Amino acid sequence: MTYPFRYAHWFIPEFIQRMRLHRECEIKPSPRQGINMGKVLLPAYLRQGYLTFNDLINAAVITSHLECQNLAEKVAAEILVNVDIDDPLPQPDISGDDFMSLLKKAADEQITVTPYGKGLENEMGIAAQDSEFQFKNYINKPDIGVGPGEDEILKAGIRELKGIKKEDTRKILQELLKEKLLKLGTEFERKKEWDKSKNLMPYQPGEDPDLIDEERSLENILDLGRSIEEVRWEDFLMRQRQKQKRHIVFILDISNTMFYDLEGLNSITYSIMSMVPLIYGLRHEKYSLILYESNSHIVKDFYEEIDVMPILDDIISMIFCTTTEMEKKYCHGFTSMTWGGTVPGKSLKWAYDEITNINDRSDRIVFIFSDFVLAQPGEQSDQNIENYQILENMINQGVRVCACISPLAKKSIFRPYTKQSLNDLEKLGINMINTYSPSKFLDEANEFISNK
Amino acid sequence: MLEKSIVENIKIEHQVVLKGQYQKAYDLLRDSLDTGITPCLVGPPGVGKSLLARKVAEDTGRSFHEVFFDENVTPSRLIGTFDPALVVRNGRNISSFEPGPLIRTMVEGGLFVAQELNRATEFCQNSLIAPLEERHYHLFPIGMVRAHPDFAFVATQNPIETAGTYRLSKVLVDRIGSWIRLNYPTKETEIEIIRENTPAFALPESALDKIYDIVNETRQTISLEIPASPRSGIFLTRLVNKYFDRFENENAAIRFFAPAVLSKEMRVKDETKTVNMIIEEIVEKRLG
Repeated sequence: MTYPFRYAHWFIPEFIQRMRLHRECEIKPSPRQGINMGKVLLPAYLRQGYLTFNDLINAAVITSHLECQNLAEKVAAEILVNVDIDDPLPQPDISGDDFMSLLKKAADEQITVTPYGKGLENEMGIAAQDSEFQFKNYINKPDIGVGPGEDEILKAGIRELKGIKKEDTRKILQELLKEKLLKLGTEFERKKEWDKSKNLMPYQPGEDPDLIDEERSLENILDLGRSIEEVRWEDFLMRQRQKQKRHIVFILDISNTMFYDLEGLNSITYSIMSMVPLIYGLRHEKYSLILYESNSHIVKDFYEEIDVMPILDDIISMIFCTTTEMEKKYCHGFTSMTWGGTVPGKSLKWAYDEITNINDRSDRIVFIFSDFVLAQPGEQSDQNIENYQILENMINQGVRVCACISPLAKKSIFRPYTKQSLNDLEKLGINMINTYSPSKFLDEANEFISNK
Repeated sequence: MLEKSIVENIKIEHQVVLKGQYQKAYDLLRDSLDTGITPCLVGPPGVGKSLLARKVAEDTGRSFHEVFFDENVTPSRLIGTFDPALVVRNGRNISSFEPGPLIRTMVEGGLFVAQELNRATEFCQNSLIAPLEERHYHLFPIGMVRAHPDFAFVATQNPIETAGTYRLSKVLVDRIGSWIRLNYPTKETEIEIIRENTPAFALPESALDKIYDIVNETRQTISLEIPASPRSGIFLTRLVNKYFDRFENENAAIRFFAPAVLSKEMRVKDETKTVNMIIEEIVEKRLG
């Protein structure tokens, strides 16, 4: 059977349309695929003077993404088998309603730009009309970039919007917050100080100029006594990238005290604002995550290959949760379970087992995000002593532990409860970073990871 | 001597068997390049993806440039960098820029092959978007580099199931216009490939059949993540062909060389067995 080229004008949009509507099609065809189908058919037509069944199937299959190729073949065959070639083909409507009007519409319509993710425009619209929504006076100015200023905006935003109960609005805010936190994570990942060796070597053409150590290069050039005309590329010194195996355990405290608000923010918010970009920046390393309150909740171990995004979504959602919602979520309906206490013992034991099973050639790190409200003032329980012993054992085995402390731990209301535990951590020689400002935290975390 | 061999434009001859899937893939590749679509050849290691791309470059009179992607390939290796010594002397201008293989190919109008594109980092994948779609690259602060009309880009990738591979970003996936699959060839084609690539071929047909059977059996073994490629079949045949006289029969020769040749590229999925144990089992099964 042969087809004239004009048949492609009908076949291509029909195929694209059916693929987009097909529930099994995971990667929906873009307009670019339609253009490519036409391009692929052209040489076949020019060679033969007509198109064949195979040409059309082929164009549909090879322009579809690998995961959809079987489906594309099926859909294309269905279109071709069920259509009688002798039937007059539907003519494209160029009267203006379908085609020209599109251009007119685009020109007439006022285009509004929302600062949100793609595909969420409708939801954004709903949120924009929400009386609780505070962004009425939003002006789409250029991004202010990443830095302490951004930290303050994030905190102010959370403080203002945390009380919103509407599910849709909450989701959008979560999405917005995630976007900002991931941006911090990307910046953190790009710096990757920990992947740069301390050793210097002469610069090679083709290497990343960002690796050049300017200060040491200048010293080297001066030491060599070269004038500007004599400087060569190998006089510049660069730090080489190195690939070090790394295993990281993240422990997050989700006990009740983490949810106590002080000046509109609580410890869980501070911890999450620092933890999310950190996990995102380290997502290519082997990592595991555990949450604890009276019980321990393993989210991911080293060997589980799961997408980081759902994990981060879940963590970010905690900012907007109350303790009751958290209890519902993590007790799975078993309300008789004790919930909300600060019992890190099992999590620390799990982290200890998990990380000490790893060969010490890998850089092994544990990050603990908590307010460190571990005991009543002046009280030192057996459980607490055991916790410090686990931490001490970790350190003795070469595991690097970093306590990521909520700024609220140092406020007068919590101070009597945290003083002892923070002192004990310091005695153990554990690195401590404050989570008050996410970007400052990330800089310090970068330094901590680099200084093995 | 080295200088002489470098300056002379050496033409590397490639034995290409354009039959079955290879003929179809070759036609699709040429059609895609002729119509300005970026193709991607997808198949397991050693099925001849690069060879096919080389053949197209040769037949269309284009120069051939390739980069093997992995996580160490940075955009600056691909695009090029400013020579810091020249920047100090002349400032950041075109005279201090050392172009990388991609920009060089764009300017010359050659064929650029991005080998194992799905091992590239996101950062590197993003730097390919403008050259693929708009056929230009903005080099700050020099300006826009426009691609020569003959510039063509071909990507190759291993199936996503292979270890060490990543998914390509959606934007890049959308820019790749055709996805051409290559699988292990049929028996007839593979035997012809082996014969074509074995100099002074003097083996009996039965030996070739046995080699093919062993190679093919590795592809049916589910405990192998990466089975033997046609390249392994070629190497095994070359060795057996050359040293056949040293052994009492063809089985003994195949038995001797098979573990050394096949184990080099095979990778096991099930770690309860080693590659050599699996090879021994296969050889035993096929040769009896």
